[in-house]
Amino acid sequence: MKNFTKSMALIFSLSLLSTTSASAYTVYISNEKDDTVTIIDSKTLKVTDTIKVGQRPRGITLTKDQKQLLVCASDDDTVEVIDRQTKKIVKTLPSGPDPELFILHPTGNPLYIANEDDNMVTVVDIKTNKVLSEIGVGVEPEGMGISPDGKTIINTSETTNMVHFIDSKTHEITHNVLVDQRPRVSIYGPAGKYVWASSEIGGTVSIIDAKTKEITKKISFKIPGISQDTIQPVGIQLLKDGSKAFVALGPSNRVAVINTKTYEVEKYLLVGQRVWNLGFTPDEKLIFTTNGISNDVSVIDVASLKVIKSIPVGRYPWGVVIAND
Amino acid sequence: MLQICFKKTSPLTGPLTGLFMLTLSAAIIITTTPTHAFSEDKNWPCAQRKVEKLSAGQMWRGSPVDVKDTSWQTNDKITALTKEILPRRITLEQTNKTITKFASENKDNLEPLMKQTFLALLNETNQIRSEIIGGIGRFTKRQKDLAKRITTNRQKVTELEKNDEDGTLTKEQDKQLVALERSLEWDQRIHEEREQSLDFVCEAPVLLEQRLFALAKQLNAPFEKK
Repeated sequence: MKNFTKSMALIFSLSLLSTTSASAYTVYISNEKDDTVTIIDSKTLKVTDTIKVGQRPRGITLTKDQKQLLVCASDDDTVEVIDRQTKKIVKTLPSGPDPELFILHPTGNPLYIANEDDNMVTVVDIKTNKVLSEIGVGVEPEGMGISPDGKTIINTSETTNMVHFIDSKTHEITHNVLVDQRPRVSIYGPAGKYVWASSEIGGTVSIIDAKTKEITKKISFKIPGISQDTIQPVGIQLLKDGSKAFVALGPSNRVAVINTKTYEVEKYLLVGQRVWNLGFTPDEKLIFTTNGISNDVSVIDVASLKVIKSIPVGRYPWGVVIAND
Repeated sequence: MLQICFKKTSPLTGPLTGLFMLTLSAAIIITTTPTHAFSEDKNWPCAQRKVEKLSAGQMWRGSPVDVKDTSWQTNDKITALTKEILPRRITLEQTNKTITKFASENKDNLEPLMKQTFLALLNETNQIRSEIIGGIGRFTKRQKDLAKRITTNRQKVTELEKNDEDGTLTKEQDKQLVALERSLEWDQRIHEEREQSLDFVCEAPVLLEQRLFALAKQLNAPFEKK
């Protein structure tokens, strides 16, 4: 009996371990209203530090070597570069006005920044701090994505309701695809064959064939007990093998888990309030969601599709990026 | 003077409505023009999309609640608990203690009681929220009207100033010009102050949503542990 209890205790502690990430990654969360970045250890799921940054931090990413953190300080009209070791701002990049979201070229340079107030995408060389180009796009640009081969940049414009396809060499728009109202996030699927674009007001996610630029599928959401106007798709993340997509559904407080073969929603997970963006740990065991109103981050165990923890962070958590170490 | 009036809808809403009356009476001098050109409701000034009504599924993490169940309306225990935890002046720490005590005293019928309490809170919160949302809409319209008046008066001032330059300004027009300039100055100041307070105004329904979510979590906790 004693041995049985011991074994059970061992199994229990092992099962607890398996719900957290095997490796310790560093999770960075931008807090829009607090002007801070919260740092979380993915193994202990505890906040380890908070860094003071510029005004209204939103978009957040890492340099290719992962030594530096890039943060859009939207109300300071700049992108801040933070050294991950010292946690200090080491320089600022010229971003153009009101930078909201950005994407780094797969080679690590340049950085493509959406300027929400100026209908532009600013291209910045992050080594020389020079603006290489300003690309005119639709009204209120927001989502930024890039094809895995780095040849095509995608950008959504909230008011024009379009996904713009931009040649990364010529900086010319090659195609515009009309999607549902207020498109937010747009990303390429892992193989680069499809683009996923969320429409906040339209309440849908459009799947666009990257070659033909045709919308091949439109995913709608229906959650029992929840009115349709609260279902506002924003953040999207896909597993590396492309088998599942996770979509943050804003004020419905749910994350939809989509089977990418059938495009059926397998599950709606209740997370925190106004779930906005999502980020996988590099091993894809966990996914972190930023919850703008409840001021916390929810942690989802990808294998069991269960919300395992809520971590209080700063006010209005917005963006998330997770480093390899 | 601009006014936003809130009806007291039930005894339970009293303190909370009072707080928001205070909040929004401060906001009486605060209105705005829409900043998001593509908001569906033209009189909705907030960056967040307008959500008219909160749904049970947004908040409740346990097994689904039956929103048609109105038994909470006649349950004295639930009325008393709701009265105790709904007002925003009661901290979430205090509400948690109250809910935990209530749970320990009602172990036998816990889940249905907690669900009904949640429904009572949802109903009350939606009523208060809907009044606030209505108030925001009305005050946005008033701000638009003020903006229109500023534009009209500015045009009039320009015309009269032109007459002054030409030397054709009559005494009556001179008086009119002085009055218009004074009125314009005030209107612009009020308009600007209201614009600056937009975030604060838009926060009011969000705070209610935030509190309901936290209370739902507390109500759900005791039988989740069971």
